[in-house]
Amino acid sequence: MKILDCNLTFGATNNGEPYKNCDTFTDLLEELDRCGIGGGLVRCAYSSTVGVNYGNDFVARCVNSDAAKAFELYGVWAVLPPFTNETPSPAALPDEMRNNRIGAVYLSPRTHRYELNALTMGECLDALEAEKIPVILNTAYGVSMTQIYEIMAAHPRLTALIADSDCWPNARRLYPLAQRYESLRLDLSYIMDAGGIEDMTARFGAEKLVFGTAFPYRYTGSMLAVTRAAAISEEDRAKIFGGNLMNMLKEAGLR
Amino acid sequence: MINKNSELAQVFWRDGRLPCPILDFHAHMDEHAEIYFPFSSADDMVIDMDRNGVKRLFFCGHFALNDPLYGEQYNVSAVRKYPDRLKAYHIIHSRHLDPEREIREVDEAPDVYAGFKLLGDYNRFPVSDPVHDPYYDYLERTHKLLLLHTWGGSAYDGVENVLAIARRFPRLHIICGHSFFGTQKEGAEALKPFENVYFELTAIPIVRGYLEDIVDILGSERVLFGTDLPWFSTMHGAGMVLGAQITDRDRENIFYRNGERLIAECGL
Repeated sequence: MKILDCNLTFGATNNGEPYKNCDTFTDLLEELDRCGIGGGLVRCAYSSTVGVNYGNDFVARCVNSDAAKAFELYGVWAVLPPFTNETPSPAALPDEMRNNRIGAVYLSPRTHRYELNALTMGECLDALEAEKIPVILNTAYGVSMTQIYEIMAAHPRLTALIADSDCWPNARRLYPLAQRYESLRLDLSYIMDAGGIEDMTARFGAEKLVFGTAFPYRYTGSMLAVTRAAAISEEDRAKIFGGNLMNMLKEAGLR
Repeated sequence: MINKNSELAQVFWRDGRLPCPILDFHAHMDEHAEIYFPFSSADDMVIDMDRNGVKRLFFCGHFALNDPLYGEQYNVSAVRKYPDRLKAYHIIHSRHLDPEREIREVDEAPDVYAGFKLLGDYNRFPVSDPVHDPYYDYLERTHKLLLLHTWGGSAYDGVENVLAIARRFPRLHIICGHSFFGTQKEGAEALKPFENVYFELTAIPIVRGYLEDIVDILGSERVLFGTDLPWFSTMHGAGMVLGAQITDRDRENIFYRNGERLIAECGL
């Protein structure tokens, strides 16, 4: 069973965050090898701390490098509203991603200093929704839960990968979304409460759940152990550990 | 496999459970106004313990934590239902103190209580305030446990507060819940000379690197495993311990060796 992690980040930072960082792609590969993670979606922090294209280009080079070949890694790109023409246009973006082994995009309106609404990102999200491209909506990247609800209401068939990084259990915020939107998936990186995975599997089906660790912010071992020991069927465990993410990438023609 | 450098981690990965017992020194129970918990009753706790190899659980339920008047009875009923598995901390509400009665309740029910628990941040009241001294004096004399919620930078339960208690009651067994989250290094340095002060790991898993900080300074012999169950699943904390950059000997100390020693010392 190959384990794929939908929430990986690397890239040197100068502000002490995360507490114990993963500076380089080589460091990331060493950690994946040490803990038995076979690949997943990886974001380069530089797309938030240096420049959007600087980080996007960096991660594309890394996931296409020889060093990455032992893993099944796909990059994650930051996208911006199209009005400044800094990132590929909504029409060009899906093919650019396919050509560069990019498996998802993420929105970071607070860091990238834009207003996230229908005017700024509606056209882009329309294109991503139509192409079934995974869109990461993670509160850790500055998207609020209110914005996530608004995006899903406007784009109900979006292949969204949702995460609420609140360190308190957050079912009251996440369950309505999981219940309503068929194409939405939950990133499990921050689902740490007793019985959480079991409860969500029973309510929504394992198909909704995607394994993630939030490395290097958090310990990879925590969610590996939670998922390994969860009282669910082996079939469901395999879906969560990697099958669901593979299917998302296949459906978008990214794998 | 979680950690290819750990035999313990590899056995866990193969079997889905640890080859050693776990003693959990920081848990809760039952519903909470702010959170939906799918798995939180006393019965659920014991099912979780059985699944994950947790031998004993030391807890203070949410009802006791948040209802200063009527909540404590639920701690008692849970322990009486599972006397071999559960042990409670009697809550201390700093704004509703009745030391004579509360100490008597603990003293007369050694089958139920391991000691007291105090949450300075929640009470907005310094744990070091001498108003709590009758409780601390009792715990020190009877070798029972004091579980404190401790948090980095807190004026109520930060490093200086606990240091003040440890100086006044040097033989008191203090468990620093959350290990002064965020100032764990300063806490470990300051409290290292007090050999009855333990650090406990609840919340520590959410920041990679904190556990190694604690073990580097304090050693693994004074670190206790705890989860905050049902807030964090047992395996969330156990996975951190299995994957962290420490030795298997450290992991075993944390999972059960230190706890067994403390239980024996305190006659629990």
